[in-house]
Amino acid sequence: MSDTGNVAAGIEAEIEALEQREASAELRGDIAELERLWSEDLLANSTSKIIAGKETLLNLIRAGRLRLLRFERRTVRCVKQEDLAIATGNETSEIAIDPPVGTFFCSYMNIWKRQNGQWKLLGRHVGLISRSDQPS
Amino acid sequence: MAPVRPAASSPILVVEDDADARAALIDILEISGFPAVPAGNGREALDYLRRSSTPSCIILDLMMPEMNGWEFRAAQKNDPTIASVPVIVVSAFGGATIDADEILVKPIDVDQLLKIVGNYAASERSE
Repeated sequence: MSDTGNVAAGIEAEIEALEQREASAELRGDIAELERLWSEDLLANSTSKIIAGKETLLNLIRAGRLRLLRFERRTVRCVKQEDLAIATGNETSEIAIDPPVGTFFCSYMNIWKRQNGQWKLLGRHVGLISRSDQPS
Repeated sequence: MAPVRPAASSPILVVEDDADARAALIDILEISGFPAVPAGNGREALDYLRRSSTPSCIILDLMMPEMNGWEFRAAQKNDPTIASVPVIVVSAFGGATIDADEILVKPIDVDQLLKIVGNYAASERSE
């Protein structure tokens, strides 16, 4: 592998690790970890056709209104330029809600920005690809 | 945590046929201090309005089965007991033409929606 390839692989590994860390925090509803990983300016555009910021999303999690039973993220591709990184791929999720609403299979794109030496999630877009009526 | 606004004395009626979008809107309104009630289409909304206390405002989707947003709005304006309830239309169409107090285009900016809803709740409290 060329040096360029090693650098690219290193960047991918760093962003991929962040992506999995953030996905795990979402699944666990780990507010403290999400506080660390999310930028104060986070903007998320969800499958519910709603654009929300960090506080709204954290308040939903705190109130138990956004609790995940399953959340798996597969990063397909990522790119980095200076202090910005973009990762995109797909996510499979099940939300804890009564009655159950099934399994969501979505595309996603996350935008990370390095702020004061730390990568922070600045932007997120999720689009529904398909949905099964039954939980898996 | 963001400050929670004082609860409105009357609920906000959310008229949306997409169950996920409806649930998300109600969750966001309620954690922000605004009680909310759901309706899956215009007919359900009219039924609610005619048997319950007057909401502080109505969040209205347009494209819905059974009775869409335009039909609901026409029926609402023809009923003097509910005609004055403010209506915030949320539409997937940027150029939607309908007589409403506010028109928001999907995806909805939560901060913008909460500001509008807060204004209606505040004006209701001051009456």
